[in-house]
Amino acid sequence: MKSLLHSLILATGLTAMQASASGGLEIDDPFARAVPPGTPNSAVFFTIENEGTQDRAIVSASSPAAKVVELHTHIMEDGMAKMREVPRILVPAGGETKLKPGGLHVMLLGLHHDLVEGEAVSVTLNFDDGTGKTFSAPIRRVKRMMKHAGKHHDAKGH
Amino acid sequence: MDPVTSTPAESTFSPARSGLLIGLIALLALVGGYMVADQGFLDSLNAGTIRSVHGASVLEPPRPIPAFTLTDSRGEAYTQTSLRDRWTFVFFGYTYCPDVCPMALTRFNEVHELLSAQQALDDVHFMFVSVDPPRDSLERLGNYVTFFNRDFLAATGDPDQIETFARASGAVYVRVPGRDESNYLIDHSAAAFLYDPDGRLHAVFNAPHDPFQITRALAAIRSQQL
Repeated sequence: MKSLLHSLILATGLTAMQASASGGLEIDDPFARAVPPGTPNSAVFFTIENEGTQDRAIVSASSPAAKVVELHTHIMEDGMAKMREVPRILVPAGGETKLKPGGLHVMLLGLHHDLVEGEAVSVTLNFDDGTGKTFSAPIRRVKRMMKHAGKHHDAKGH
Repeated sequence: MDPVTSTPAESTFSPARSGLLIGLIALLALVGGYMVADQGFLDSLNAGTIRSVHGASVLEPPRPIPAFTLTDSRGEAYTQTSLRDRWTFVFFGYTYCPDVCPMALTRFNEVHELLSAQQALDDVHFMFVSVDPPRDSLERLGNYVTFFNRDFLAATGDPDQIETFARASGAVYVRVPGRDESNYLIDHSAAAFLYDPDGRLHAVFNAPHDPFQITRALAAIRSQQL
């Protein structure tokens, strides 16, 4: 009983420590791209803010929605869009980093199920100081450039 | 290897003789180069000028497309003659593409809407050519493109046929090494290609794609063409 209590205290303490350690990092406007049925890959985008005084970095990510989750960026080279894994994504102290279509993204490889618009996926980011942060990313289509409300349902909310 | 160039005697050549030798080697290299060069490469050497029209690169003169045969997502043959009598936007990609292809197809869906609003859609077609035939079946391709727009078509076929069409258009793609057989990625051109009613490559639209710019460019190109 004593050891169980001990474990509980330890677990609670760890959780509190994690929360405070990654507390300076805020995730804004996360979303996972909705994909056509049967499409095995997708990506998650968000803006991450660092309210702390030290630079931080995302070093890995995971999600129950996909077999493999990687940190990626795009480079334009030889007229081709090349997607490449990056070891870390820096979030500067007092600044923010945007993960957005055509740039940095959390890549979901080998989806376990279709990403259906209106649902959400859980994503965990791991940081260079050993802490982590889990959030829910709503699934939606790519934002339109055209602002008018057309016949398409994905025009709303922009 | 040529015994002349591989012996120490080479160093005793007079400047005039070695100059002649270099000239001969250069000529051989040139001839050899032409022998291995494909038509697309030669065309690119002869490709007149590129004019920028609302962000689009317009080829002057437009580039002819050699014969190719693919199959489209309705199960029908898609060949160089399918490009005729219409304006066709083509994007070379693959359905496992996590970012670039969904982005492009979303933007071209907006182009489709703009053209529809301008009643300028009738003779404009949108084609997604998969450069990943091992994984992209026609059924998968059909489901994929119609997710973005029900008028969009897709096509794929034998790798050499895809390459004929892509290469003549200046589209490039290469599989990223080091991934397993089931979930590899492909680097590919992020540009979209526009073919005119004579079936020639008329303009190239580099990414990122702005639907308003593309629609304006198409109108300008058409007004010069017709």
